[in-house]
Amino acid sequence: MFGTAVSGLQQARHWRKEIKMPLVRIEKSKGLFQESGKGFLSKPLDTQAVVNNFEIDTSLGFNLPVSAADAGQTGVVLKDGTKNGQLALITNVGAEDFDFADDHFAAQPADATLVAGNSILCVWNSSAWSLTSQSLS
Amino acid sequence: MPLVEISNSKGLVQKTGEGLVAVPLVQELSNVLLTIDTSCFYTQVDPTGNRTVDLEAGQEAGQLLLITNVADAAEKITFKVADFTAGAVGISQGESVLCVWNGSKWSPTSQTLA
Repeated sequence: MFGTAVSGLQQARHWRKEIKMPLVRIEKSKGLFQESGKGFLSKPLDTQAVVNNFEIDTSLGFNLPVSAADAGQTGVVLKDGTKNGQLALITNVGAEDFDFADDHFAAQPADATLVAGNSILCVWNSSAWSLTSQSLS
Repeated sequence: MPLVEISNSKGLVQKTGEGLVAVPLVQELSNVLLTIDTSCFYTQVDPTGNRTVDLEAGQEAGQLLLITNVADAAEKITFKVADFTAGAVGISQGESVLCVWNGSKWSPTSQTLA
């Protein structure tokens, strides 16, 4: 039994030695953890297909790829957050732009098109999503 | 009250204090060094003059990268179009951009919706 404990300790030391430069990761299955590497990575969740008036499910996690099958999709919204300070990163990984619904964000931009390839970072303020990805005016 | 800190040397650690801190990797950009190392979550770049620069590729989809231009004068960096999903992006003195790697290019979040 003592031998097993020593062996476990040696294994733990071995793992600790292996993780030299940590990469911080967030994944749906494991939450927040570290492994060998560098930087900060949030594994994208499954891509959600955007259509007219689609509600992007923000309850799935932090890094949320979306894609519109056709051009001209409008009225897209984000599902309400569940906790004040919740963050949501939305990336349009498709080839088509789409529009968010009017008056959806805490401070609505004049135009609310998420261009193909672009991303937005939002924070839930307990009653609405606030866009961080805006130029200051 | 824990302070959460992210750095390349220690990863994610908690210590006495409050808040969330990303320890930066400071990089100077000259006419001979025009590629930004993207291995650290938070990078501060200090260009000498206006520079058009490359970003190293990300390592895996979902990698996050925050860049701040810490120039001490009105010096701008412009990222090459090939590195980004949506056109040319530049940041002037004092500005920042948060990007996410989509597997083949960097997607900037700190842009006005179109």
